[in-house]
Amino acid sequence: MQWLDGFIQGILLGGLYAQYALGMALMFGVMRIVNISHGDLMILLALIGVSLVASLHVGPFVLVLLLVPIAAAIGYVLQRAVLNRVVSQDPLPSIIATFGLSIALQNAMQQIWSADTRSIPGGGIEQASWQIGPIFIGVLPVIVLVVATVLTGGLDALLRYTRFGRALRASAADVEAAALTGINPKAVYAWATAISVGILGFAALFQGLRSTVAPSDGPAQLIYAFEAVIIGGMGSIWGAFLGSMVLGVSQAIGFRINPGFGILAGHLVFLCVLIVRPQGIFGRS
Amino acid sequence: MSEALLSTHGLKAFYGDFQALFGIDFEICPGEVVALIGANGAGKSTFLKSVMGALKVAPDSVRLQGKPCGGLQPHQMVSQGVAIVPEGRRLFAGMSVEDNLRVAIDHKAGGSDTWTLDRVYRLFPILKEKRRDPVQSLSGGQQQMVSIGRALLNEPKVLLCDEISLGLAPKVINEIYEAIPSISAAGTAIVLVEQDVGLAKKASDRLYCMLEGKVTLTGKSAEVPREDISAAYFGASHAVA
Amino acid sequence: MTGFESTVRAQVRSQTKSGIAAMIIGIALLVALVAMPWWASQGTIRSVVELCCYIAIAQMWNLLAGYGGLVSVGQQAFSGVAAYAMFALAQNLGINPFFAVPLCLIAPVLLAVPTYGLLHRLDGPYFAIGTWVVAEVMRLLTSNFSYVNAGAGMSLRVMTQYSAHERAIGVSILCALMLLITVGGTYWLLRSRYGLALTAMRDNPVSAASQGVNVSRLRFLLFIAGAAGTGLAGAIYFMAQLRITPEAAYGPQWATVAIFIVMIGGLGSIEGVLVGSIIYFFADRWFGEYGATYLIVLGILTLIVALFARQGIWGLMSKVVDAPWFPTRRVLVSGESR
Repeated sequence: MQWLDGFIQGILLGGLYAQYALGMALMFGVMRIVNISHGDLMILLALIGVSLVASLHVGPFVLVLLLVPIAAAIGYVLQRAVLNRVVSQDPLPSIIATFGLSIALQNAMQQIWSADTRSIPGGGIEQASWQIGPIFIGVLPVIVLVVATVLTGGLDALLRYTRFGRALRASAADVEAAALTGINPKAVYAWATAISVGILGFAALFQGLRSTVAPSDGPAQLIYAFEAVIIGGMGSIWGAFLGSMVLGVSQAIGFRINPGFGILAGHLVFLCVLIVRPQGIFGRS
Repeated sequence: MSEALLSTHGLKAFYGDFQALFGIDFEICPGEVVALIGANGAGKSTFLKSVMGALKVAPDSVRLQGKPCGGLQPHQMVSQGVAIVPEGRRLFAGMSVEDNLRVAIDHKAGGSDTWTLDRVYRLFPILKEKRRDPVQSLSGGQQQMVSIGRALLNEPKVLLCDEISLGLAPKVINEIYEAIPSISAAGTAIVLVEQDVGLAKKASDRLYCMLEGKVTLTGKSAEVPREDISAAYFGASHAVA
Repeated sequence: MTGFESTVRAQVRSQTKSGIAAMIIGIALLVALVAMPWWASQGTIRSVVELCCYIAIAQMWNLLAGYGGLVSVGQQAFSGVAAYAMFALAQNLGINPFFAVPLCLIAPVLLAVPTYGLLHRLDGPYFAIGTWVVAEVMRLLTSNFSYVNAGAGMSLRVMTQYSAHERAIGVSILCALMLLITVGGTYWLLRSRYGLALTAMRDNPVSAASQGVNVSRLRFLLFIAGAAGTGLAGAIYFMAQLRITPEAAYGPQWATVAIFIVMIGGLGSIEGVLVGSIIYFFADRWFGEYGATYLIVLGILTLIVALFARQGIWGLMSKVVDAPWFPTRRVLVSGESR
């Protein structure tokens, strides 16, 4: 029974990871770049959330309405000011630029919010749970999973059926040809990053509600997002979602084997996927 | 001759330190089909890239209906009414035929509704049949049709075609070239970059011959003698018309 | 180069006046480094050892990123595993610690082979984060491995058998050897027949491959060499520290330092690494006390270099004066015209 419990908790944890991984899969799929400050941005948003709650006394629902537009705006400006200058075949400039940004962000957050761990108060929702037989299922984790599913489905539909989605897919396939067909790639990239970071607005709220955030937590979240994307299959939106579930379950089961083994189990599953199926579980070879 | 729709004036282009175009003067009027011929490396594709804004050029050196537009970005040129069928087709792999075409409709130049999906499907009926298929599953000729259809759906005043016969079977080439009169009949000016001189001569009203980044010959396609073309093409006598 | 004029009609010149001057200064500095225990204070020695380790780690990162196109943010996996192997050999197995330093390099090499095998299939940016995962795995494994005292870390108590002076002599010699191997070795590599292949690969891997350069094999060898060189620096650094913990050994600050040094100094040149190391060393001494603020500036500088001055300080300097310290170009000179 504890394995079933581990599995369920892992799926629920995967819902949170999916919200980190979606944006990374989107940005890599469109621009072939990885934003190393992805996790730090999530932490930044969560800390902004902490401060907003403290000063405005808003609940989680209002907070998410504030955080997501802030997140999207940060993403848009980040792309326009920084990343549009480093999108190229050469991976080095984008890695270095976002690595530098990551260091600066972590330390700036430590200056502003101190190194303490904090969390966002949820007004009781974070403790609520349903009991099914011997298993407790938290209300909040279920909400997180539902939101992650809706976000994944919404992003997939956006890519498939909208003008913007077509422009995105066209730019991903051949950016020069896209420009010659009338698409402004830099604008498309800016909106893609706005969406990618915008989703982190949800992730930040849920991370802050579910557990704690500290300025130095970003890199770990970046690695989880990365592992989920690779496990699932590169570049595909649902692949990232399912990869997050696999990662969540691996960590939850690992944690039940030995509390010190949880994170490591996730890493090991990631490495095993690289050995056995480098294109990802759901990726096309 | 009526007023030029698109013209270049002493157009120069560079790849880094290497100069590829040495002052090209070119013009095309509404409804006209103009061929641009020349050997490999003569600068034909570079010329199209410069006009489209994919290479940096002086603002005054490219004009659309008299207005300077050199140095605009490619997507801005499209919105001004210049579209291109790029060399090698350059379709959006992984997307369906119809989605490829829709991208162009999404970003068409304003002020004209000459081309619709239906009209493109009438021009190339096979595309209607294959509209849900991913483009990479199409044959080379069919892909070329998608690429032409995509450019048309940008609603261009001027359509630039970069080597649309390259790598296709003669029968397919004919099929594609048969579409050209009905495109220019709608008032669209067409620039045909071609290596096949006979094909270019037959399909165009006027032609320019390029060699080593310069125009070496220009004239009415029906009137230019074969010998002059081969001299201009191979640079035997560097005769500048 | 007028001394070269002779009956030879044309010849290839690959050494310059600035290069000869730099080599003489370099040899003098190495001698001064080895002689350190007789002229420098303990504090100076510790600082110089640290500087040498930075130079070595940055040089190895430069070799990977600047020439191999392999951008890694997880080289601490190799410095960490080598240092831990050295501690285990010396402390647990009783091997002479100075002898354990070269011996422990087997560990980063053994780790680098499967790491490269797994990660080389990943696209550039994913490769980078993949190396970071490997470093994290090593950190977590070490933290749970009681043979090396798990998360609490180890002390190199066997070093107490030597006096402080003897330790300084040993570490100074090791540092000189490390610089000879990493900096001198890179220089030798770039001047060897592999040098042209490496430079071609740096400038354009695709056309290098079409010119007959075996890019994937060369990258693999670079990655292994980079791991060994980084490992050597890790072993010497922690030998001087006398203490090691998983957090210190596998911390991402190693990547930060290497990336900062190479990007500020200048990617793809040996001189850039030296310039960047010296800048970092003094920046750390003068501004390190400002902690987070200092690191914010460091991060933003790295970002700005990546955006606007990708060739770094050495690249900017080379545009003004062409005086390489480690000339790797070959210039055709005509004997007669001179």
